[in-house]
Amino acid sequence: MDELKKHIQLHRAELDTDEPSGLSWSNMVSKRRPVVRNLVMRWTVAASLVLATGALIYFFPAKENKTPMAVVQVDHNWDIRVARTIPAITATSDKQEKTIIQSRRVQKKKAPVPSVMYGFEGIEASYAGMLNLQRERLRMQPIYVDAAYFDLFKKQFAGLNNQEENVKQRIRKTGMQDIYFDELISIYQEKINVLKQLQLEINRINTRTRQADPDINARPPSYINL
Amino acid sequence: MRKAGQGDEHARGLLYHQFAKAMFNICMRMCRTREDAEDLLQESFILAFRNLRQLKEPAGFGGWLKRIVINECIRYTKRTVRWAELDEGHMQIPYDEEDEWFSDIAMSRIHDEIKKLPDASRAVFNLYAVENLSHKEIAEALGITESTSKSQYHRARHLLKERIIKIELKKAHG
Repeated sequence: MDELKKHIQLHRAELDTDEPSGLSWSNMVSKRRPVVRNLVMRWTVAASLVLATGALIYFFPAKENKTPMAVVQVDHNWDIRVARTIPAITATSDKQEKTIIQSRRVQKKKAPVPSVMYGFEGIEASYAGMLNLQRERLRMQPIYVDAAYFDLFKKQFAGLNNQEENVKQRIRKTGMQDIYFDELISIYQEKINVLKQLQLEINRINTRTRQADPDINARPPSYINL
Repeated sequence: MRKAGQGDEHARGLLYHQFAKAMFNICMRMCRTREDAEDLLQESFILAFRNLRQLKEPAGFGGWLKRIVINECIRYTKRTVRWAELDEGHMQIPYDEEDEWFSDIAMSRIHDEIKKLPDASRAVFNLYAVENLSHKEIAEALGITESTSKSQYHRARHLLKERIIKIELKKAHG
């Protein structure tokens, strides 16, 4: 241990001369993780409206004729439910016609309902999953040139990481807003694009190298660390 | 501690006020700005309180909290420091080990000058000299080489000595 470090370790407590602001504790108590309230609320309302409208259309189709109230029979024997509407028999009507209006195939499995709790964290997790998968593929791919050849892609990716963190810092300070959401989506898309371009470039360079030197496979390859 | 783990705000407040100053100074030395340090301090405490039930020994809260703060500072450093700068710091600048220039310097002065170091040197200097991590641990944590860590520490020592001695000479000559 050098003398400066020894000196600092000996007098460590004397280094602490700064005080946090008096508001730190109260800020902390009132601090909540930025909730994507407005965005999730909007999505929830939109999703609910779509579902409600769809349900209305599905279960209550517009009546095209003035047929009296009908009886619906449901066949439970198979998965296919056949809905038949049979006009009600009225005393005034001598002729009764049985009409099968529609038969619908009802799916065994219900259509997936978007989770009302699907906030930004879910989107981030999806993108992170895709990115990690692609990164893992790239890490395991042998490269038959100096890996430094691809440094530009690494720098681009690192730059996007920085941009992502900057946006997240702004979100932490001011809360989620539409503009930040859009920025993050663009960044994630760009990251995926960079990794894809890197993959293509590695493939291209490897092919060219193998063509120029068929014995290249005998030599130990390098690997990229992203 | 038990009450704090159950969400008792008063208990948490007591813990906060007991440890905030020490933790804040770690953040102040690692961060670029006071605002960043305040944010990091709050994030660290929130994280600690959220995970308080994982702490087996209540007496170890201080050390445990410090590790959380240092980890958060390391994450901050990885986000904000551009390690491309390190290439310039690899020059071996001669440093006189015998010269204890710092022995008469107030620790508050050293603390002030540490905060003014360039980002990369400051991060490594704090982690090595103040928080007592090894160069190997620093390299692993920050994603740099041990050689880079040592070079940046060396650079930080040199800069501290240069700047502090310059200030002291200025003061001496009025």
